[in-house]
Amino acid sequence: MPTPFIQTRALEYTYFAEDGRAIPALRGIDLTVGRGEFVALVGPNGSGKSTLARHFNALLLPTAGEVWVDGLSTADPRQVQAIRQRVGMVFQNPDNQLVAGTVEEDVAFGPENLGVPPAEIRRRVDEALEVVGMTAYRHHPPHMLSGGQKQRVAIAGALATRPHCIIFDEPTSMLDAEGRRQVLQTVRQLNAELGLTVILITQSMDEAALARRVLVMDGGQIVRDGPPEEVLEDPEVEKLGLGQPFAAEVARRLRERGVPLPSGLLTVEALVAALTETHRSYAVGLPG
Amino acid sequence: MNLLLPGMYFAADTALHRLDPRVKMGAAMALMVLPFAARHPIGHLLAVGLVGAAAVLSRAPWRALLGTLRTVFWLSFFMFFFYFFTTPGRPLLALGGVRVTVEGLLAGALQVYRLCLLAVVAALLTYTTSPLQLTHGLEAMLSPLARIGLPVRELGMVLTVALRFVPTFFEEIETISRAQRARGVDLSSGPPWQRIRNTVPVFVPLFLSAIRRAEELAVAMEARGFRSQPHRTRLYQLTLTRADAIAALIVLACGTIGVLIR
Amino acid sequence: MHIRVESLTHIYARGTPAERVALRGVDLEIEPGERVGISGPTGSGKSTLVQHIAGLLTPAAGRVLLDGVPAHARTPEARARRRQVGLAFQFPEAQMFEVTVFREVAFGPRHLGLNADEIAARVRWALEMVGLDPDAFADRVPFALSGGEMRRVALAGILALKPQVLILDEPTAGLDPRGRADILARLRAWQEQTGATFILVSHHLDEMAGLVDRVVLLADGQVVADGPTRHILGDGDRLRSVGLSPPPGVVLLEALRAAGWPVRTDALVIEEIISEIVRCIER
Repeated sequence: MPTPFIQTRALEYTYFAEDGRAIPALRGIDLTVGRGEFVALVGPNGSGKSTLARHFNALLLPTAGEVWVDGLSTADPRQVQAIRQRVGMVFQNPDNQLVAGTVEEDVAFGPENLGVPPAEIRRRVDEALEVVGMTAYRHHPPHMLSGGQKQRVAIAGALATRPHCIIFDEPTSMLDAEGRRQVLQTVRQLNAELGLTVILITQSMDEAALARRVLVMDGGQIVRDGPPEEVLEDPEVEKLGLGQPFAAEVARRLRERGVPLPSGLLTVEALVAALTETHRSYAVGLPG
Repeated sequence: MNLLLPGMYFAADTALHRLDPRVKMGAAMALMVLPFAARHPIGHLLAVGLVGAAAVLSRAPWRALLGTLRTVFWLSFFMFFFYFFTTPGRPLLALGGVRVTVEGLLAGALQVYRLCLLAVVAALLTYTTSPLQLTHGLEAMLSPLARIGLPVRELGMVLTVALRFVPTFFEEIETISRAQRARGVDLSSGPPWQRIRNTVPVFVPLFLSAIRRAEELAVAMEARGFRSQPHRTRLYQLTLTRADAIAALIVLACGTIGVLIR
Repeated sequence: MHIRVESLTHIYARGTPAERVALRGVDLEIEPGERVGISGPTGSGKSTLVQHIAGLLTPAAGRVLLDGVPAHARTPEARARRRQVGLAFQFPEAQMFEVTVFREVAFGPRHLGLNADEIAARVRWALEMVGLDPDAFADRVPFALSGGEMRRVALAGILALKPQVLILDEPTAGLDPRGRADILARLRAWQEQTGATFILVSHHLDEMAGLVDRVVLLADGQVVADGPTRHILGDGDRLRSVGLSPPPGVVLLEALRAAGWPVRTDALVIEEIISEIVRCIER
């Protein structure tokens, strides 16, 4: 188990609807996310995914229970800036999170808020744009970029505060296939190469399969927590209507047709490897 | 959208783009005042010459710059005729009760020229200066007022965000109008009251979208550590270079000559 | 309605530094009752093309003919043709402005000059078509609905126009998997019931697979391929060359083929994919 980075204890969050009803959005969450983990957070609409994620950088504070980030309590107002420096967020709508008129000025926004000296801001902006491959667009205004490019700028903006962790709140749901590919590649790179802790909220089980740990939420609780191979094929999880990774669905239907296949085949590569193995054994067993 | 609208910045690397925003804003002000303050043709020649030089340096396409004149078309039109018919002087033509004069013609033309120059200078400023630089420049120029309690930095932030969303909202108005036309509204015909009522399906969604954007943007800004407090630093520190000094001197010299020469 | 697109060119922000050519001489013909998918990467011009078909834009060159009448003309004939084309924009719920679901869906029919009974009947029919119970939803405030419900209301607003041509621009973007499948099934049912021309703009090629018989691929403002769905979507290399992701089934079958399996690679729906793999195993 890596060193804990985010910890919650008996976290509850209740808000009041317009008609005055109290709505419990989070109901007793105990969770530890370790440094350098890649966690996918899935669940039906309204299950509390975004609400939970917003507790991780003190955008929301618990109604009851506690949240620590890197040992700092989110309830302590003096630590809020330190927490927001450590945990960056990238949101769903690429248009509504870019603040400035050009790419590099936008990336500079976070460090500017933290009072980083100008020369250092310059260095971080250049670095961050390099990581997401947007250096060539540094002087472009955001509205001239594609959705995927805007999301990469948003990622660079989060990187420029030198965080330990980035939370992605459905970052690909408004993108086309190419934008999705670009963003997911960047997400994986941040985790694998820079060692950042990544929390990816997603509707797509194929995206969740990229993580090494999947948390399933339903009704404000975490109902399942484990490696994707175990969680994503769980019939209980499927009942939530989340779908399955494409390869897992094909494998399931093949098993129903009597093709012997192991469980946990979440990617096309894994499925092809397993099928090819099975197929060879068929071939060996056939006469002539 | 066939205009260089105010707030439409075009990223490029020209001498004019590189100038300090404070210098550009000061120069723009001088160039907007000069056509009104100058008394002698040389003063106007200097103004036109400087604006022309700036237009060349900015490498803005001439079609786009001429397009900006549309923003002052109606105002020019009315100004021209107002002066044309109301200025006393040597009669040029008398038709019935209306008398027009040579002086009227000249005075009308002068107003049109002033307005056009004004529009071009404003367009050149926004074309070559990014919204954030404009904000920085404005903040720098207003900073003395911070001492008497004006929230200059907050105003700057508001301006930055507003400018950032200008193109987005123009696109959105376009899209929403087209979408409503696809649902059967004819936005451009019918009696006036009908036309006014027909704008509701455009402006209600636009307004709601603006609120949604503002909410999301506020969360994103907070997540990125934005707080209303004076500890912010800047990627760009405004520093005056030799080019800035030269530009400022040229505009100052031309402006002084242009105003003083009688 | 017969749709004919003739060397259509569209230029955005003409004469400004932001000038961009969105369509370059597009030719296309769509017969009445056809089910056509239009796909291409972002910026390929697909949304611009369908807005031209709906007569919402003025061509820089070329034209769109709806039953022989230029789509964007300001004549009564052209207006009558345009009324037969229903276009749902991307994220159509962003155009809602009425205070109740009923009024929102009735907005289009009201502009067709129908009487109150007809309007009410159409609203009921359209809401049922998109899977919303009219009695439960008609009086609700659109903005208090969930994202998926808002999308359905917005789509109902287009169906209520009873168009001869229905154009949907990314109708499932941003919805969860369950909602996507349901909405698509209902739109398909609508098409089968009405026999209308159906044009689906999407980059989700797997969703497109079961819904259309013909696919037009756009890239950089030009038609780069146009043919039967299986032929276009089964060609993974061509799709990748224009910047699209092939349907996952095609990717899987291509990978099997590369591993030496004698599979066809153009199976598009999951039953077909399973049968193809089983067929190879049982040989």
